Amino acid sequence: MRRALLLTSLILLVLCVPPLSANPGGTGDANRDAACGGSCHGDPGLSEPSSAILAFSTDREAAYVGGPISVSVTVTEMELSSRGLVGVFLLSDTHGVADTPQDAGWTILSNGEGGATNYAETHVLDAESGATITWSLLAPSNEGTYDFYTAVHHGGDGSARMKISDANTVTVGPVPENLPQMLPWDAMTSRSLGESSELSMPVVNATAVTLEYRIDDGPIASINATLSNDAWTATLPAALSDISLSYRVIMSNDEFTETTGWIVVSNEIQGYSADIFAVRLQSLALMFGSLALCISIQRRMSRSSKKSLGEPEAALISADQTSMVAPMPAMVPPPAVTPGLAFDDPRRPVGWTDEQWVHYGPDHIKQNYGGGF
Amino acid sequence: MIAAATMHAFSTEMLVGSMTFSVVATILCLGESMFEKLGERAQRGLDHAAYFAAIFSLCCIPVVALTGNAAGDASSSPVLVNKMLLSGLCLGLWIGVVHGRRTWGPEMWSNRKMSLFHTVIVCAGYTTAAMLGSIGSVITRGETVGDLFGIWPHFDNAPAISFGLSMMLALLSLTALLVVIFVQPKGEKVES
Repeated sequence: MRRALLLTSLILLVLCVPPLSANPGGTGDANRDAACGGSCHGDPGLSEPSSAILAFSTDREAAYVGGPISVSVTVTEMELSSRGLVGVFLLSDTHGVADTPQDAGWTILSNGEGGATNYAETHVLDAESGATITWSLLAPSNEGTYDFYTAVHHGGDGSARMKISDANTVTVGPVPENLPQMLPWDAMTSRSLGESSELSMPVVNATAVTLEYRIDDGPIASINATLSNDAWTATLPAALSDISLSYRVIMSNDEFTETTGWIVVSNEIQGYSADIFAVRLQSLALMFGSLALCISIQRRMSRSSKKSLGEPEAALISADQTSMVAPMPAMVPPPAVTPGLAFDDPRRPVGWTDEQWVHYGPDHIKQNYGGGF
Repeated sequence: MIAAATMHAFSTEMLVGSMTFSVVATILCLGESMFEKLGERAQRGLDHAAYFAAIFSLCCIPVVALTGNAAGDASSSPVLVNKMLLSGLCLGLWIGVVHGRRTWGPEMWSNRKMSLFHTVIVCAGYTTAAMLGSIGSVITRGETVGDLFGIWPHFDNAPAISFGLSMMLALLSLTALLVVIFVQPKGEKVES
């Protein structure tokens, strides 16, 4: 009966384990391929379908080879976890390997969240209004038709959820002659607070380059860039607080005007820095200290345990204390057996050995019986 | 190759599993020494189980610390700094656990003070390991089961101790350990 009760309790405990969510705190912005079926969000055994609606849009109908284009993905109507965290993908394929836009030849200048990755996480307060992520891209160097897929990962109602959109086509056409163009460029997407940033932009076929910037969705300010050493340079003013600053580059000549998408700059707030070697020493100090404390108490308790068993005190003193004892006089040869001290003397105490009786017997008789054998 | 983070998760699971086993067996031993319900044979079995699980945990701790060290850069995160500090404390306490059981022998359960002290160190070592796991959980998952307790520390701030002071602390504690090992009279097995 008891065994059955135990087994039933164990089975109940196993069944009571709640469904677990994958990474409720998110995994951070990064370049990621499409989630495969073995992932927490992709495995039908671990996840549930998402009711999210994915809307794809671009700021222009087509891009030129190497030219700028902005892609926006709006996610709405999704289930939301208590954290309201949503991860949005921009993909060039859905195989699970080499699926990022970079794999298809695109350059990501900005993901709109202060980075240049194809996966970005954002918090959503309300599923109705959802979230919009805007990627600023530079087109591949080959003409053609390119597919974009968008995907969303999120939690909700205790399950991991995922949705992938259908393909959205973007055409990359030939570059018109004399079109101002940005050559391959690593856009600045983060910087320290309080530091101004000098941007060097490799723009060709332009007679004027302007740097426009704004704070959040506020008014747009512009700075004229100057040409020096085949690059256009302009200085972006410093941010004095943790604001959302974005900028874009406007390249123009007599015939054309080209504009990049908005590139969002994140602020690197002065981070924590520790001397790792000092930390290792502190860790060692804690280890040695705690170990010393444990061993010390254990040895002390071991000794007091012996003492409580009735062992003579002197036997517990292991240190050499002979120096504390006064020097003994020269050894005197043991006295010969006193004549008349019989081993079977009735005055001999019970338990005394012959040796004790020979040495201490006379004194014992003298003290207790007044002497005389 | 397997990523350091994967090896860290694997070794952590091994550590926490064996440590939990050791703690449960130790607490049962203490209970048996107080209430004498299971019998001497069961207590001896539990004692051995706790002892060998503790030795296995002890072997796992350096692996966990090394793989964790390779998986993240502690110099830029106060949380990881606290993880390193707690790792040292956990290792020290757990060596103390194994040392105590080895010194006193299985008969220590017949001594009330010794069995209580041993159980306290085991629980302290396990709590430290639980804090380490909790920090790892906060880093990777953003939350920890420890939050259910309300008073569970999050270790968002780390002590800023200079290199010189750290060196002095390490030398002092090493000296204390050497004094204890070589000067203090050795402990002996408890006899029944």
